[in-house]
Amino acid sequence: MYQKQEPQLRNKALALVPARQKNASDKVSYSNGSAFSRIQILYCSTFAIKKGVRTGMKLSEARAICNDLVWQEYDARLCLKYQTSLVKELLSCSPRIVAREPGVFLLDAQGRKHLGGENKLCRDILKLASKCGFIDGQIGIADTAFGALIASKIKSRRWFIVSANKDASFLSTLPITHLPLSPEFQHVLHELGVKTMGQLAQLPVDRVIARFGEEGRIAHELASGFDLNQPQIPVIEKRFAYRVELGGPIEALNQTMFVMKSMLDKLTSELATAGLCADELTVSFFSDEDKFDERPIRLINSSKHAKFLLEVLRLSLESQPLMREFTGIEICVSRHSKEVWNQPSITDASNKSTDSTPESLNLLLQRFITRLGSDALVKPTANDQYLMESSGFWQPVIQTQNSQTVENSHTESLQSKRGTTPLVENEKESTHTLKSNYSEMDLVTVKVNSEYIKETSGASGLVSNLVFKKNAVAVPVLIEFNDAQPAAIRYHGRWHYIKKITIPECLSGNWWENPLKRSYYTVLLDVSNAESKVLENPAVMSLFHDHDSSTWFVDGVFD
Amino acid sequence: MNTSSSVIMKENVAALKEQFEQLFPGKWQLKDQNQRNLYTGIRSLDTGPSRGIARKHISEWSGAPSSGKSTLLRAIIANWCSTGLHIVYVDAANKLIPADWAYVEQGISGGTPLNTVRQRSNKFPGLSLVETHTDGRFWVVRNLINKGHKQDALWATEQLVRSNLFDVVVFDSTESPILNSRFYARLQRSLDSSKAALLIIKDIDQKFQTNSQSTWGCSTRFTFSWSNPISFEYGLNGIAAMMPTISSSVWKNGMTNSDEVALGAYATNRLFTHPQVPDRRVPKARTTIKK
Repeated sequence: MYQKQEPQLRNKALALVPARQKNASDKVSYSNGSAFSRIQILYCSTFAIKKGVRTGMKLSEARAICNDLVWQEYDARLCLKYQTSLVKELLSCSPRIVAREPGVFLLDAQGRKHLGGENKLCRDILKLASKCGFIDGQIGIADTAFGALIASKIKSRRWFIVSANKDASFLSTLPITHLPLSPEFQHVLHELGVKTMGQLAQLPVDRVIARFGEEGRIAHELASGFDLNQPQIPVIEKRFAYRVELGGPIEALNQTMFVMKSMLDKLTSELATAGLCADELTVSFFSDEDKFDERPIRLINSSKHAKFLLEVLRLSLESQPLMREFTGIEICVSRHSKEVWNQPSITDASNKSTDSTPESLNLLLQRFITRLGSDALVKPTANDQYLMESSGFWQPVIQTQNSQTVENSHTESLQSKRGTTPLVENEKESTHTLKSNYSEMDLVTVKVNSEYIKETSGASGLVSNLVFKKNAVAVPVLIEFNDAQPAAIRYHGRWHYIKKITIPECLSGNWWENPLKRSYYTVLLDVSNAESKVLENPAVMSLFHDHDSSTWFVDGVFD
Repeated sequence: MNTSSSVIMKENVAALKEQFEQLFPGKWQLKDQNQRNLYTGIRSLDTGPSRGIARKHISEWSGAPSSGKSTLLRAIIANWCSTGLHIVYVDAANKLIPADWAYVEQGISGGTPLNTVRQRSNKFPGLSLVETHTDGRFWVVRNLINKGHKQDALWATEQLVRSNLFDVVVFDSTESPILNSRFYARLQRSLDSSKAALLIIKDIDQKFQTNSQSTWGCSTRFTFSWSNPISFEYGLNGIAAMMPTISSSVWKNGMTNSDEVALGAYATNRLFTHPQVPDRRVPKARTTIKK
């Protein structure tokens, strides 16, 4: 790649070293963190190898061996560019292809029997690579990716084909240095007398895993001829770019923004269809065919909103005006990412410390307090009472300092009024008051012993089965009886047949606060006549008979 | 090498889960997963024309006042909460009772669709269908009727959508008289700048309520009703429980799909399901006598 990029490097001993980078203290170091004299060679050309230079050797040693050694820093962008271009070419040989580390490609070589065989494939690949300017290619064909990679390293041949189902035997004689092992692991294996992959493959796998963990398992699998890496169909990256050639030159900002708006509308709709967001935009301005201005604009947060992107472009043009008029413009999404659908995590707003809550949540809560009051946004909490209206309470999500004080003092006053013993500390924390719609009286809540319920009824016992929607006020209804059983009900202005009714649950008590004497029924209503078995419009309701007032009420519906 | 192999393993597992998600939608839903559609875990709703509940769109959740729609929704919300999603329910008519919804944040709901599996399997921990998280929130907006502003519920819904904090905003429009096309358009505009999904619960049975059946402005409409026949559990003296099954129908872009959801739920002759913890009223009763 480097020799192709710079022809003067051809026929010279070339070595690649890690790229330089600046650290926090503006000190230049190399990507592996070492100083210049100690950096290791990543790759060396054939000329350099002939002179004794090897990969992994320190640069200072290599320079001592080879005095005309030329070294260059590794350029990831350049590698990626050449990898991509070569993959595009190699696609004509095999549809499944994967680019691995620089210069290494995995191709699918299956099904070549009627296409000239594997030897022809190797010849075609080498010809194609040579046409692209890469002349020293080597190919290995095997059942597994690892086997093929090792086969390609056999220098005596330009291609080496391992027979089908012979990967394990091919690898068995080779040293374990070919395996991707840490130096310590290799040293331990050498100490144990394991020098070839065949010897490693013969060891019991469970013992290897027990001793060396995940690394040992992978090494054992590779040595035994198992490798899950497979070439795949490459994903073709779509380029999101629009170029507009204008009839005449434009200079004014408003006109420029007008042109950009339509371009961004199209771009963002395409991004939305693909489920992507822009991370970086590149805007290029042309005067005829001459590109005179190119500005990459990096976005703080990825976005696909045309309005936002237009504002960003406007700011860029206002801060750095164009030097001259232009006749063409191109907007390209140079970097994009998948649209993120996750919402920010909501910390418990009932917590007094609001420092951890996001700003948008604070704003929302403040709006709700201001307009609707602190009791509008609530969360359900269970309460260990039996009646529906008192079996739970709505705990405000927003608890201001004042409301907390009022609640506590109110609870204390209730306790003193009723003479109740103070709750234990952990129960006191969860103590709240509620206003019951039914009785209009305050009740002290009792924490539900959920463990007890789980033991007796399981987790499903914690909640009722069908959701009950309770009328704000129980609706009095007329009942028609048949053999002392409710047979029809007049509700919402019309009569409904009671198709089925459960045996009643008779409740009485609460005489010390608000006396209660009721029989609760669950009924199945329908508008169809009594004889019909087919239900036209069934509804499951809760009906109760208040014995004190001798009135029937509809409490609500099961929905 | 160890790190890279674990990364490869994670990628393989993620790819496998994605494949399973396509086969069994909703059952492999993970937190931090980019999803345009929220899967409910109910096959008929996830694999039909709707493909779950779409974010940035309005979906209608309709049925008769007693049709099983809220029970089904509660099961779905519990499923969503257990995967870390935040849900807010605007109870415009103050009809919900807190005991029904108290354990939804923990992923527990009473009536669970029989074909939904949510909890982590203790027997095969590695093969859990859904990773259970407990950081999903379920909040309710209520007490709006007596505030003096008729449009408070609509204002609250719009604010919640615009806040971009909740994954799903449920608006229970039962008894809400001002749900017109202008409001739908306004909500849709709010959704354009949000990532939330908006579910509007509507009562459509004219025999009990008078809400219109218009679907203008909604992208998907789910309709529910009790299916015939309804089963009963008989005790010694009569019916002890009713065990209805819910039938669902999905409408989207002119296409409909109908199915039945077998719900493991029932309405008993008892008000509350769990047994009473003994002795808890004793001190209170004594003090009342003193009083």
